[in-house]
Amino acid sequence: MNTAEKPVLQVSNLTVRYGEGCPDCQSSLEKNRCTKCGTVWASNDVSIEVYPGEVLGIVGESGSGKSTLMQSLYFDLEPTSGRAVLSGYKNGQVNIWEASSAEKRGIKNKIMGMVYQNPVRGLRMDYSAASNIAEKIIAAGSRNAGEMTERAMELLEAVEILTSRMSEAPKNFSGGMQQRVQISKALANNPSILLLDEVTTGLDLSVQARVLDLIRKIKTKYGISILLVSHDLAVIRMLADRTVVMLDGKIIESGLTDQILEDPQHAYTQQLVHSLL
Amino acid sequence: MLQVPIPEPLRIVEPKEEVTKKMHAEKDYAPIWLQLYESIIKYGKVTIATEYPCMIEGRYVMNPSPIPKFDNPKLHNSECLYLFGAGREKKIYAIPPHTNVESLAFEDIPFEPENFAGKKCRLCGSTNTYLDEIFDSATGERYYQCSDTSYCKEVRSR
Repeated sequence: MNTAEKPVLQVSNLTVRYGEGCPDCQSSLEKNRCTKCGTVWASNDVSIEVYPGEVLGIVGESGSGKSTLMQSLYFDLEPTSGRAVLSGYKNGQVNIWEASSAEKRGIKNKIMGMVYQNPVRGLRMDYSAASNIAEKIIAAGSRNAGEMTERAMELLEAVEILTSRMSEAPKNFSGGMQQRVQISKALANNPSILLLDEVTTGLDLSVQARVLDLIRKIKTKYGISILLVSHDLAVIRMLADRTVVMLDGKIIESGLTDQILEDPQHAYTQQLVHSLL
Repeated sequence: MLQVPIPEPLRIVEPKEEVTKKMHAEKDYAPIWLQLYESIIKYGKVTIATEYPCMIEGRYVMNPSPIPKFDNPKLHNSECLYLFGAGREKKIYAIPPHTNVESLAFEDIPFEPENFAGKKCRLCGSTNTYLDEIFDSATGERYYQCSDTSYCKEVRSR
């Protein structure tokens, strides 16, 4: 990680709210809901930066706004306000949320890679593993089937899936294998940032360990920046260089992961860390 | 003039009309290419026989259904106007004369129509038409005859 460099991703003041809002919202929030008008502030003025080669962990309980951030970044939901720039898109000068839908598709296919908690969201379960990877490559403009197959084999090998199974559909794979196919698909076009949304949730412990180990290897091999969302501090401890703690749609604490885990400042973070220990 | 069961080439990959319209507008044909690629991965070649997608003037993908892919090359730079009608969907579309029509194919795997080399229609003797293969279970013999029966009849009446 090098914070002297230009961030790969910079999010400023992301707000996602459900409801019209009222002038008293910010002073009348009960958790993330306004007691006067009922508006829910799923993400409330969130700002983060991810630097080249860095893993930034986002931790928080359910409903804290972690997935809202990820879904906004991958254009799965439209933010109410805010700005996000990617160094790989128009030299970091243009807000990606103001891009045209074709440009957004280009960003998703070439600059970002996403791995969802539920593989059904990220994979075409009835298509072969190779086609799942090729889909990204095709979307990026390639029309060479041989090159796609070569790339699919290379990536499947990287995620430790036998290339002899590349013509099989992910619906026939185990949960851990499906996650690994998702990771290989996300890497298809050498994105500059990988978004990992609770990728180990729901997997048994041994499979979790394998997926985490794989992510660590991928980080080393490809030098890719990773935004990692998890409610599991053990996952964050293992992978994240820096960590941001979210609660009720807001960032309440951020810093180096070791610092957050060893010396938490906010009461909620202290509670979170102590519940782990 | 041809009657088309499913005029929307993207229907097989996207059920919503509003989405397919947007995909055409943005030239987002990746899912169609993916269909072709999936066929190559599974069977080693593109196995789509009819409704083989075509790129029109390098811009729009069209479904030339119901013609077999054997006849796709005949649409290219044709002298005549081709009209495709889908009654159920109240849709008519056309390929004007002298239009560039290209069957989708990967750079390294060329488009390959059915090959009837050495075979001819048993009724009219044509060697340039799409031939149906007919198997006579009584004699064990295989016959070939024109799939386009009106063309076959016309040839025989000459």
